[in-house]
Amino acid sequence: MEKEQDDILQEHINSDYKYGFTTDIEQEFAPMGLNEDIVRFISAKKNEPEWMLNWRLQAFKAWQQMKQPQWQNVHFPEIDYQKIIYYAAPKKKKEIKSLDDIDPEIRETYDKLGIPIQEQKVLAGVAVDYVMDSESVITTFRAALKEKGVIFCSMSEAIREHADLVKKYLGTVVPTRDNYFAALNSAVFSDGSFVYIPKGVRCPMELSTYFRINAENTGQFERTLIIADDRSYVSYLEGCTAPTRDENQLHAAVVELVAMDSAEIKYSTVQNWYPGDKNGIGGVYNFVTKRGLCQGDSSKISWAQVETGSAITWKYPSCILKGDNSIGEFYSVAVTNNYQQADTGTKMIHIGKNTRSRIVSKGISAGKSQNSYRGLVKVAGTAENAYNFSQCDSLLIGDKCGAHTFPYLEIKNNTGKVEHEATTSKIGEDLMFYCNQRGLSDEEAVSMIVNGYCKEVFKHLPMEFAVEAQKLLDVSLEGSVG
Amino acid sequence: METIEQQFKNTPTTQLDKVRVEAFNAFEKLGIPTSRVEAWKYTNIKTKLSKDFILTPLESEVNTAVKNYIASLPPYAFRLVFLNGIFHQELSIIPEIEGLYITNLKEAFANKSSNIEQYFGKAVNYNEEHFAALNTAFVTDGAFIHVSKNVAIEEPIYLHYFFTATDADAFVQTRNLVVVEDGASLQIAEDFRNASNITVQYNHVTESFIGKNAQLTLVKLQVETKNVKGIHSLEALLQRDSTFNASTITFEGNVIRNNITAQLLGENAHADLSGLYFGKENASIDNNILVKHLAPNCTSNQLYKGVMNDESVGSFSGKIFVDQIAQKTNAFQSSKGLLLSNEASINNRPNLEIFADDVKCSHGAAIGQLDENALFYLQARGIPFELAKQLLTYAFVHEVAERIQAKPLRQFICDKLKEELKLNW
Repeated sequence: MEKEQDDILQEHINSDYKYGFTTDIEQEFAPMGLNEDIVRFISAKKNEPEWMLNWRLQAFKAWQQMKQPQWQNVHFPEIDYQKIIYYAAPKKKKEIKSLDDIDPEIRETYDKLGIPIQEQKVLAGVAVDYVMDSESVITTFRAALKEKGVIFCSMSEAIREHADLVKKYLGTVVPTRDNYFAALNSAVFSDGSFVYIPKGVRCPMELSTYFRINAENTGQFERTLIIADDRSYVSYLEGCTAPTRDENQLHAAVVELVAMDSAEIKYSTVQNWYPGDKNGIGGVYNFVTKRGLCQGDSSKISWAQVETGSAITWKYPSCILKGDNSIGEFYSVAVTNNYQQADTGTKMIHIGKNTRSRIVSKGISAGKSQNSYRGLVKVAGTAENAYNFSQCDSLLIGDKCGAHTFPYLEIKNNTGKVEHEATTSKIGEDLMFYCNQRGLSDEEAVSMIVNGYCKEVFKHLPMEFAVEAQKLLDVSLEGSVG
Repeated sequence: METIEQQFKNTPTTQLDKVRVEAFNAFEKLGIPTSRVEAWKYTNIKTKLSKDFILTPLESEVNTAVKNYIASLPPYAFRLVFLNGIFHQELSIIPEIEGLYITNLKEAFANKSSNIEQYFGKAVNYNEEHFAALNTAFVTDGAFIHVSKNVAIEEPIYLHYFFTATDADAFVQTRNLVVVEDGASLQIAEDFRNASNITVQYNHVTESFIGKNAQLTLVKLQVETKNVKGIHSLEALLQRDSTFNASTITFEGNVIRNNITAQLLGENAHADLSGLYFGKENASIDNNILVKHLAPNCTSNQLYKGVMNDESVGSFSGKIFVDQIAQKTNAFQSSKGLLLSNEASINNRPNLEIFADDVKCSHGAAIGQLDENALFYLQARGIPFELAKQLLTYAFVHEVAERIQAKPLRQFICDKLKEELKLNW
C-alpha cells in the first residue's frame, strides 16, 4: 500500500515536471490574432494527433462563416477577435511571499467567506510549502479514483491517453457548428477536464476542478467532457466561491455531459469572476455553452449554478432528454449588482417518452444591473407524457435595475404537460419591517430574506458549496441597500 | 409596383403624404420579415404570403355570400361594410348621434375631417413594424371613428370587412382609426370574413387613441376565415384613468397573425387584453402582445386561451414592459393551451421586461391536455367520455368568451364554440 502510494506520488511528481508546472519555463505566446496557423500552432504545442487538428480546423472554418448572435439581452462593445492571444504557455505565477502582499480587498472577501488560511494561500498563489501539502491530498484522491476505474484528467492528457473515448464523444453534445462561441472554442480550446465514470461506479467523491492537477491556466477557452456510463453517478463542482481576478476578458468555454442508461450527473457551478468595478469598467465576459445529453433510459442530469461574478454572464446550461424516463433539472441563482448583466437560463428538450424536467431560477438584480432569464422547454412529437415545471422568480433591489423573463415553450405532443410560472417583485416592506422590529439591520434583513428566497436552489448544491454560496450572496449584494 | 413607387417619389405636400412617404421608405428598408426575425419566429410569413403581391385596390361586385350575410344581421345594428378594402355606403348603416363622427378613411383624408392628420400614423411604429409600415404607405380604406368629449355611445358599432379574392396575389391593406376623446366611451366589433372559396390576403391596422378617463372596448372577430392569410396590428394609446378592453376571437384561419400593443401613457390607466383561438387543419394562429407600462399606478391583464386540433399551430408571445418610472404597476398575464391532437403544436413566449422595483408582475403559462380527474368525475356521473371532453373544452375557452360585454356578441361566440366542438347541450 505504502509502496503503491509512493509510486503514485513519484509518478505525479514526474508528470508535474512534464507539464512544466514546477519548472520555470519561458513564457510562450502565440502571436495576437486568429487564423488557421494559430489553430495549427495550438494543436502542435499540445502534441495533438492529426484527427484532433482536423477537428479544430473544421471548427475554425465553421466559425469563420458564422456571425456573432444579436438576440441577447446584454450589451457590450464589439469584440475584436484579432486582438486576443489564443495561446499562452502556462505561466508561472508571480511569487507572493505572504498573504499581506495580496490585494486587501480580496483578502477582506476571503475573510468574509470564511476561507481557511491555508486555502486562502492556495487561491492567492502564495509561494509557501502548500504544494507538498495539497499534492498529497491530490495523490490519495487520485489513488481512490484509480481504484474505481474513474478517469479524471486534463483534456490534453485525455486526447493522448484516452483517444478512443474523446473521439467518440467530443462534439457530440455541442457540435462544432452549434453556435458562434462553441465553434470558436472548438477551434482554439486550450485545456479543460475530462471525466469518465465506468459502468456501475458511484464516484466516491465530488470531483472538482480545484483539485485537478494543472488546473491553473486552463485559460479562457476551456473544454470539459464528462461521460457517465451505465448506472454510474458523479457529482462535479466547477469554480469556487473565492473571487477570481482574471486577465482574460472573454471566456468561451464548452461543457459537454453524456449520461448513459440509469446514470446520473450532477454539475454544480459557483462562478465569481471579476465583475468589473462599481462604474462597470472591466470585468469578464462569460459566454459559455453547457449542454448535457441524457442518452440512456432513466438517466438524469442536474445543473445547479450560483452566478455572482462576471460583467456579463450569457449561458444556458441545457438538457437533451433523449432516453426514455430521463430527467433534467436546472437550479439557478443569478445575482447582478452595479453594472453587471446576465442573460441566463436553460433549455429542456424532451425527446424520449416519460421524460421529466424541472426548472427553478431565481434572479436578483441590484444597483444598475440587468438580469434576464431566458429558457426553452421543447416537447417533441415523440415525447409521450413529458412533464415540465418551470418557476422563475425575480427580485429587484433598488429602482435602477431591471429584471426580465423570456421563456419559450414549444409543445408538439398532446400528452405532455408544461407549466410555467414567473413573478417579479421587490422585497416586501412588511418583511423588512418584521425583521427590523426584531433587531436586524436593513442589510441583515435583506441578507436573510434573499437567502430564504434562494434556499430552494441552495439545497441542491453540495453541502460545502451551499454554505459558501450563502455568504457569497451577502458579499455580492453588499452596499445595495439604502 | 413601379407606378406606386413613382407616386411616393414626388415631394409630399401634405402632412398625410409625408407620413406615407416615410412609411414607404421604412418598408423599403424593412421588407417582409423571415422567421429569423425574433418577433416572427413562429410564423414564417415570408413563405406564407404570395411572392409578388399586388397592392392596387380591386373593385369587385357584392356577391351573394356577402348579401346573405348582411341580410342575416339585425337591421338596427350600426355598421360599416368594406369589400376588398373598399367602402360600400349602400350596405352600411351609419348612426347619427351628436358627438359621434363616422366616415371612411378615404373621405376623411380628402376633407381632412376632425384633424385626422393629428392621429394618422401616430400610434403605430412604422419605422420598426414591417406590416404597419406597408399598411401606412398603401392603405386603401377603412373606418374613421371620432367620439367627442364626454359622449357615451351605448350601441356597439360593427365594422365588417369582406374579402372576395379576384386575384390570388392581391394583398389588401385596410385600416381603422379610432379616437375616443376625454371621458367618452365606445364599443367596436371588427369582423373579418372570406366571402369566397379561394385564399385571400390582407393586412389590417387599427390605431386607437383613448383620452383621459375614456373607455374603448374592441372585439376582433376572425370567424369565417378559412383560406385567410390575415395580419392584424392593433395599437392603443391610453391616457390617464382610461380603460382599454380588447378581445380577439379566432376560429380556423390559414395564417392569422395578431399584433397588439397597448401603451399606458397616463397614470391609473387599465388595459385588459384577452383572446381565444381555435385552430383546425393546418391553421397557424399567432398572437403577439405587448403591454407597455409607461406611467405609475397602471394595471394590465392578459388572458389567452388556445385549443389546437389537427395539425394546427398556435403561438402566443406576450410581453409586459415596465418602464423605470412606472412604479406601483400591477401586471398579469396568463396563457393556456390545450392540445387536442398529437400533430398540433403550441408555442408560448410569456415575457417580462421590468425596470421598476415596486411592481407586481407575474405570468403563468400552461400547455397540456384535459384534466384526467375532471374527465373521470364527469364520467363517474354518467356523462359519456366524448361529451365530457367537449364540456371541459368548452369550459376551458368559455372563460375568455365570458369577458365580452356586448351580449349578442358573447352569445354568437358561445354558439360558434358549441358548433365547433359539436356540443349539443
